[in-house]
Amino acid sequence: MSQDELPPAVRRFLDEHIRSVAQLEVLLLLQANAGRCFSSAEVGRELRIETAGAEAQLIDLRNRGIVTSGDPDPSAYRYPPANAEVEAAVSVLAHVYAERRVTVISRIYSKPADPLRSFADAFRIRKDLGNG
Amino acid sequence: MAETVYILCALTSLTCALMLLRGYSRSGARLLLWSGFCFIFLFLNNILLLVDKVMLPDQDTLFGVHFVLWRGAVALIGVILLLVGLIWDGES
Amino acid sequence: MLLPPGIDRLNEFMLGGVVVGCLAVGLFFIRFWRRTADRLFLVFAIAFWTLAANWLALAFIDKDEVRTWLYVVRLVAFVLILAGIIDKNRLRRDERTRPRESA
Repeated sequence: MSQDELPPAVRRFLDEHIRSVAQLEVLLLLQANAGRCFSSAEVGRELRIETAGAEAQLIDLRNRGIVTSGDPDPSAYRYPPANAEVEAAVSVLAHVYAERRVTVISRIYSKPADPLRSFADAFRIRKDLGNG
Repeated sequence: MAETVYILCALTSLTCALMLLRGYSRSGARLLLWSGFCFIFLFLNNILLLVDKVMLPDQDTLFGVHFVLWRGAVALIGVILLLVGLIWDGES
Repeated sequence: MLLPPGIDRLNEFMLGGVVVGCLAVGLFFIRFWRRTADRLFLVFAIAFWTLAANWLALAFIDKDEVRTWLYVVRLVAFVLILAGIIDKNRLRRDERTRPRESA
């Protein structure tokens, strides 16, 4: 269950955009139904979460440019966004999540590497040393 | 004697640079990118010292610019890069 | 060492920048050392302060006989860094494998 086995694009996408499993599930729901417009109430119903929570996730995803909100109706959200790179990453992510849920979830909740720790670790020649 | 010292300093700088850049490719922590480049410039600073004092002792300038200015500029750029990295990317 | 005045001024200016830069860098490393308790950061702090001293001396000392010895200061800084790296990679007593443990 190594997070290094996740494709780098997926890793980057997760690190940059996904803060919780709820957010991921909302995204993947929209991705599985690409083109269809969802309201936050509908998303809440599908995923059995509170509408307010769904709304928060949808707004965040929209602000990150991962989903679009409808025009003229801004309360309707849909996937995909105009960004091809995001589309590609998310479709790989959907695959990987289906096969390796636990790995993806671990990645979402692993703390970002402390730059100081990374700096110090860069000078380790062997990786198997304990805390030096 | 001086040559040995300059070479040692250059190699140490290069080693640090390579370790940091390798660390950056592994962890993605940008601080390592900045500091890696800092040590590249310190490496160049030491190489220029070597070239100036040992390889071309009778020559004062390189490509029309005084050695002293080359070394100073290179060291300054390196240190500034590191400072930017420490300030900007020194904490997550 | 005599430089044309325009070049001398530019050189002094850059050296000033480098000295202050190194002092600031060292200060950051001291802060990181206090935060992480990792000796490596202390080593880098002292090394950069030593480099600051080196360039400070270069800015003010004109006598060539003294200047040619300043490489010793530079050497100290880089040897310190090397020592820090080696120290980081040394196995500590409690990490050594103990093959003589009986089953």
